[in-house]
Amino acid sequence: MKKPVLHVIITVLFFTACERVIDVDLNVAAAALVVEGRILKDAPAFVELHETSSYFTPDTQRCVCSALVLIRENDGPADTLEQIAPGKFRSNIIYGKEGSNYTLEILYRDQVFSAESFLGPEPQIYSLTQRTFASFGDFGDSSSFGFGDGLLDSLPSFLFTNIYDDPDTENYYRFEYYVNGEMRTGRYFVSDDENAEEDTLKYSPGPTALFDPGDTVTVCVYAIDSGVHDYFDMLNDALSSNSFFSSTPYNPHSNISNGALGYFSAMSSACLSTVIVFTPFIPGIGGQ
Amino acid sequence: MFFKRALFVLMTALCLQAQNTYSVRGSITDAESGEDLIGAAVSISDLSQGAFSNSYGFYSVTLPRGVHTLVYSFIGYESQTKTIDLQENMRIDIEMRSAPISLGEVTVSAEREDQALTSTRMSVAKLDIQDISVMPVLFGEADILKTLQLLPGISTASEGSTGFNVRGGANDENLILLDEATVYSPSHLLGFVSVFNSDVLNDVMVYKGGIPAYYGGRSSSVIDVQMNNGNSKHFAGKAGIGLISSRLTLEGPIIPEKMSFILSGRRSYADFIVKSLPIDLIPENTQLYFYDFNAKINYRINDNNRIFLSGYFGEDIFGFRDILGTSWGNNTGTLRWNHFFSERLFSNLSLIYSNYQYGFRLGEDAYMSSGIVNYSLKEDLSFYPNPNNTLRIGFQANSYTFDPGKLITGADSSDFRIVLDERYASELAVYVSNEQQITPLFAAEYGLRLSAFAQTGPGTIYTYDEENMITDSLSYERGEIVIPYIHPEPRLALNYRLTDQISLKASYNRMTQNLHILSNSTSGQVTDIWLPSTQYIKPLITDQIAVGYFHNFSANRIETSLELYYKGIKNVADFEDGTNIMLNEKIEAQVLIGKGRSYGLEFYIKKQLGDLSGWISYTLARTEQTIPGINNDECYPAKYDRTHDFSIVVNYRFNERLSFSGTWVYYTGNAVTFPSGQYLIDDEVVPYYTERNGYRMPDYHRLDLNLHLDNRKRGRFTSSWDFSIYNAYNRYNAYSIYFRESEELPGTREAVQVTLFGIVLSISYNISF
Repeated sequence: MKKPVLHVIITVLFFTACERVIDVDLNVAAAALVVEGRILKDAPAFVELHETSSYFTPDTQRCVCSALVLIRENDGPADTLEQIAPGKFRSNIIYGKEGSNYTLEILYRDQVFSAESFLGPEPQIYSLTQRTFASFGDFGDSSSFGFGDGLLDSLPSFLFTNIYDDPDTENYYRFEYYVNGEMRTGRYFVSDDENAEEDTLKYSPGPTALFDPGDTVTVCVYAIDSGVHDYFDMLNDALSSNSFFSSTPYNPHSNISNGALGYFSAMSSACLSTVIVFTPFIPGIGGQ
Repeated sequence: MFFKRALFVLMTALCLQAQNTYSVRGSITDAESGEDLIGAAVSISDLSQGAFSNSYGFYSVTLPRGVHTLVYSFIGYESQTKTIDLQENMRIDIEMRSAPISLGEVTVSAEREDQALTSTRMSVAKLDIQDISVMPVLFGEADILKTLQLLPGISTASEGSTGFNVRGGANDENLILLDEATVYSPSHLLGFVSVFNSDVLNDVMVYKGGIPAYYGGRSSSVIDVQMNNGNSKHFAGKAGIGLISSRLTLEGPIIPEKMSFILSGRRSYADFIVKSLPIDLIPENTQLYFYDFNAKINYRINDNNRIFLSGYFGEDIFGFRDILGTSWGNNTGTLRWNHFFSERLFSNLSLIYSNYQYGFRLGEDAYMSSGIVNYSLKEDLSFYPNPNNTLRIGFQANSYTFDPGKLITGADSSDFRIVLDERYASELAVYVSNEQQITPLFAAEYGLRLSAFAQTGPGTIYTYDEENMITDSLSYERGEIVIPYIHPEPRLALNYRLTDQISLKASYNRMTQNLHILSNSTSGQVTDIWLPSTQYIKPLITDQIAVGYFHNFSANRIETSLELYYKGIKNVADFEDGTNIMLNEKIEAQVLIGKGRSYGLEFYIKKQLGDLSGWISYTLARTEQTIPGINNDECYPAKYDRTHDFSIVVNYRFNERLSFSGTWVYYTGNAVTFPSGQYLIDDEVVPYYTERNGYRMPDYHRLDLNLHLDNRKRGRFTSSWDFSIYNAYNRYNAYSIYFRESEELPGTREAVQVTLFGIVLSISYNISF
C-alpha cells in the first residue's frame, strides 16, 4: 500500500513528517466464507475456499474442508466438485465452454452461497502498440497517484492492447501483464468497453505499468462478465485503500450471494507478446 | 402572497409606532486610520436600549423626542459619551481612539461588556484580529480559520488544517464570505494556511446557530469576514517576514477623508528555501509557492452614498519542471453601494463575483481541471422604525456555472479526453428579519428566508436505473429549469435577561444548502468538485435548535456560557462503495441519500480584559448518519464525529512590549474504518471490513507557544518579533494510519502511523508604519 501523497509533499516541504509502526487494537470479525471460483475455457472448473481470519495473526491452517461445492452448466445436471487438496475443489466433468452459463452452489455451515457466471467468446488481440511521451514524470504506482522513488528519472511508456470489441454487446475484460515471464501483481487491470471506438478497444493501464526497454511483455486478455469486472475493479480499491483519491474502505462487492467474499468467474483468454522499445512521442507525427 | 401581505402589515405597524420619534445615525470609525468599526455599541443610558454598528460602521437608533445620553463603546477603544437634545433627526459621526495598553486592568470600558448577555445572538463569536495576530500557530502564520477551531463547537478537520467542522456539519457546510463574496476553497498549501491575510482584515463573525435570515446557502455555519477599507487619514503600511511567507500591505487616502485604498500581497517562498539548501533535493525549475493579493478602494461620495470595490486573487502553484504541475486558486470581486434613503432606511447593494479553479498538468500535452464560477446580486435594506425594532429585508440572486472536470491529453481531438458537461444553476433568496426588544428584559430576532434554487440548462440530463445505467436523456435549453427546489427557512432567536449577570437564550434555524462538494476526504482537498442540487443530489436541509445559559462574573470581566444544541439533517449524501469522484460522468447516480443528526454541549469561559486573558472551551458532541446502502443501513458515526474537544488559550502580557500566549488542544480522534480481518485473493492480502467508521484514531493533543515582542516605537514606525513553537512537547499525533506488509517480518501485517509535524519552530518579524 502506498502512503498518501500529502505526506510525501510535506516531507519535501518541511522535513518533519514521519512514519512509525504502532499497535492498533483490531477486532476479530466472525469468520466469513471466501470463494475463488474459476472456469477457464477448456479447463476444469476449479473452486478454492477459505475463511477470513484475524487481521494481524492470520490463521492460514484453517481449512474449509467440509463444504459441498456444486457446479451446473446451463440447465445441465449439477456436478459435485472433488476436493483435491484441503479447501481446493475441482470438477472432473465440467470444462469451460464458450457461450455457456455456469451456476455455482456452495453448502457450508448450513448456509447456501450461490453465483452465476457466463463464459464469453475468446478475445481477439489485434496488436500491442507503444507510445512514450516526451516529457512525463514517472508516476510509480498510479493506484496511489503518489510520486514514486523514480520521480523524474524516466519517461513513461504507455503500452496499448488493441482488441476486437463486439459493438453489439456489453463486454468486460481483465488484462494480465507478464514482464519477462513474471506476472505483475498487486493490482487488477480491468476495463469495460465504454471507451471502445467502433469495434476496437484500445486499453492501457495508464502511465503506470512500467516496462523497461528490452523487456518482453506478454499481455493476456480475459473476457469476463460484468459482475466479475466490478469485483476486480473494487478489489483494486481495497488493495490501495490509502491512496489520495480512494474512497472510504469497503469490501469489494462479490458476485456470490449471502455475504460470501471473493468471486466466481467463467472466462476465456488470449495472449500476445512484444518487446518494449522507447520511441519518444513527437506531437504531430503520431506516436504509434 | 401571504409573505407580501405579512410584510405590509408589519411595515405599517412599525411605521405607526414611529411617530414622535427621531433617529440618530452616523458612522463609527477609528480616529487614527478612519477604518470602520464593526460591532461597536451605542447605548442610551436612560433606556435599556442600544444598537451596534453594522458591517459598514454605520449605526442608527430611533429615540423619543427629548434629552438622551449616548455612550459609544468598542473593545480596545476609549468610550465616548454624547448628550443630545433630540428635536429632529440627527447625524453623529464618532471617531474613537484606541485605549492605551498601559491602562490595562484599570478601566477600559471596552465594548458593552455585557454584550454577550444583551444580544439575542447565541452560538456566535466575533474574532478580534489583534488577538489572532499574537496566537501561536503553525509556521508563524496568524490565521483566522485556525483560531476559529479553538472555539466550542468548531473542530479542526485534520492536523494543521484550515478545514473545520461546525456542530457536526461537513467541511463544505460552512459559508465563508470575504466582503460578501463566497470563498469556495479557503486554503493554501493543501490546507495548512488559509487564504485570509490577517493584515487586511477588519472583522470576523462566526455563526454556528441562530443564524439570521440574511445569511443562507450553507447548512452549518457562516464565517463573515470583512476587509479593511484602507486608512483614510494618512499613508500607512505593514509588512511581515515569516518562515514560509512574507507580506506587505499599503494603504492610504486618495482624497483625504473621502477616498482611500488598501493593497496587500503575500507570497510564500518554500521554493526559494528549498533551492538554497546545499542538498540537491529538488531539480531546477521547480515552482512551489502560493500568493494572495487583496485590494480595496472606497469612496464616500457624500453623506448618503458610499461605494466600495474590493477583490481577492490567490493561487497555489506547484510544478516540477515541465513534467507536472498543479495550481488552484480563488478570485473574488465585490462592488458595493451604501445608500441612505432616509435617516431610518439604509441600503446596501452588492454585485459579487467569485470563482474557484483547479488544474493539474502532465507534461505539455495533458491537463485536468475543474471549477465553479458564481455571480451574485444582493440588496439588503436595514430599516430602523423605532427604538425597539431593526428590520432587514432583502434578496440575493445567484448564477452558478460548474465545471465538474475535464481531462485532455494531446493536442488534437483524436487523443484521449474526458470532458464532463458543464452544469448551470440559478438561485433567488428573499428574506425578512426583525430584531425586536419586546420588553426591557426580553428580546427576539425572528425572520424568514425563502430560497429558490434550480439547476438549469443548457445541457442533457440523464435518468439512471438502479444499476446506474442511463434509461433516459432530456435536453434542456439555456435557462430552462431542470428541477426547482423551494424552501422556506424560518429563523428565530430569543433572549431573556434573567438578572444583570445572567441571560437565557434559545434559537431555532433551518438552513438549506444547494451547493455540494463531492469528496471522500474529511478536510477538503484542492481537487474537491462542486455540484448543484440535482434530481439525484438533494438539497441538504438542517434544522437546529439550541438553548444557552450565559453568565457574566466580576463585573463582566469573565464571560461564561453553556449551550446545548440538536441538529437534524436531511439528505446527507455519501457515495456507493467504490465511487470514483474524479471525472465521473455518472457521479450523481452513485450518490446515496440518508439522514444525520448531531447533538452536543458546549462550554465556554472567557476572560477578555487585563494582563491575563484567554479562554477555555469544551465540546461534548455526537454526530451520526444513517444512509441506506452504507454500513448495512445502520447508523454510524460521521468521519468528523468528535466526542471531546477541549481548547485552552492563554495570553499573558508581561509589560507593554512583551507578551506570551499559549494554546493547548485535546480532542478525540476521528472515526475511521479499519479492517477487522483479512483474507487472500490470488495470494494478495485483502482487508475485511465489518463496519463503517467503527474505529477511532488516537486522541490528539498539542501545545503551542508564542512570545511576542514589540520593539521600541520610532515615530510611526513600529516593529515586532514573534517566536513560535508548534507542538512544543513534540507529540507524535496521528495524521493517518495505514496497514502494510511488515518489512521486518514479511508475511505479517502492521499498522503504520503517519505524523505530519513534530515540533516546529518559527520566527516572524512584522513592521508597520
